[in-house]
Amino acid sequence: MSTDETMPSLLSLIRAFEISIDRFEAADAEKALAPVIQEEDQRRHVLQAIRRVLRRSDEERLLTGFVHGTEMVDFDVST
Amino acid sequence: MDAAVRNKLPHETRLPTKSLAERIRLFAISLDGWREYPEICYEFDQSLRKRTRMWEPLIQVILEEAEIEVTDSLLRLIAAWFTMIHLSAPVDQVVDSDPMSSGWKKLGPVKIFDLILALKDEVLEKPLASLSTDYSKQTLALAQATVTLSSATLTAAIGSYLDVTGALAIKDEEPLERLVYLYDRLVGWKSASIYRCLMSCLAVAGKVPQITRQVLEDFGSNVGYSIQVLDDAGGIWGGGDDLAKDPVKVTFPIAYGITSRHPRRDELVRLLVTPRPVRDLDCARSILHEMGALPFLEFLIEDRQGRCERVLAPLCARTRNALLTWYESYFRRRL
Repeated sequence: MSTDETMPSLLSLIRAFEISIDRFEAADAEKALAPVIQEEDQRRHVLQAIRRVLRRSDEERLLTGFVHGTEMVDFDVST
Repeated sequence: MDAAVRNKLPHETRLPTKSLAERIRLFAISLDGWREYPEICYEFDQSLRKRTRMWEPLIQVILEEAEIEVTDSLLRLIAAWFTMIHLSAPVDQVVDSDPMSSGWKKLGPVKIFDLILALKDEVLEKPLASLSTDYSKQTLALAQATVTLSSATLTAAIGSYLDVTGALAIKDEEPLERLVYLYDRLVGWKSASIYRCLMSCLAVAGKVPQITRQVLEDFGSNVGYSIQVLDDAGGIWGGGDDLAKDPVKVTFPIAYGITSRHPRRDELVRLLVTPRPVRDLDCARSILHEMGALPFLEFLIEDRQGRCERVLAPLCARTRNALLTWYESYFRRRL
């Protein structure tokens, strides 16, 4: 039932995302994540995910609908 | 086949004439508890028509991968899961004083809880009561799966205590990192646990090997986590009122905003602890937008997709790809 302690926590992901916003295309971007995500494989996966998101155009964004109000009705997706 | 002939067949061996989604839906809306509440049952039915269709491909893939026989008992169990998921909404709405549909609202809090508890008893006890008393491996597996479902709903309920006691409320004196850590864990105890449970039920009922069960459960946890992310996005940008609550509680976009190193972070925190009547909701929403909270949520969903890819590695390529395609389409449908 518990969160997998071996995976990066939400706080680590917040920090990783912030670090990556400024330098996600930089050659040393993965290294820059080292202070918040220790494990090399995890750093690589996290950076790949961040790059995929940040490279998307506005039209490709997963959550664009929320901003433009096209998903105003059925926001409770869990039920 | 002639209907009269079909009705003479043992219940479990009737030929399926409806889709999996349809059969699950019919079991769920046929519960005795709904009988006196047609308006609420209708609402449930509408929700189920959509939800069961969305989940059907995923369930189908798992049933095929694990070669699980589709019996009425198994479908009743899956219907129980959909019912428990649906019932969690009015509970949360009462706890948070959120808007409810007119059918639920008319009942008032006591009758709401009476109905929820009656349905809970029915979906968790009836599958066990309906099983044959003759010992068989299938009977035992379904009994174990029902206990798994009961255990997961209890986990989610205990997780809710934290929410009810205000542990997630943003207050002036509260260390914000601690709140974010707590929320991360709570999502694991509630949302991730609930969706993990569907995978557990299928795995246990299907008597799959332990490794397959673990893979499916980890996949379910990651799906549940992402569903909560999507739900929380809706709470700010999709017509929800998470910024209007008193006190404001941590959700994913708020967690990002209050622990960010963005220059407007302190301004956001001040806004969130401001009493509701004078809180500027549009300003809070626009600060979160400026901070990049939406791309961050998208990244969380993307990160979970990566985790799904890794946990599904032991499955055969066909099943793995089918589950990942389902994940992709579930979270992409909102484009």
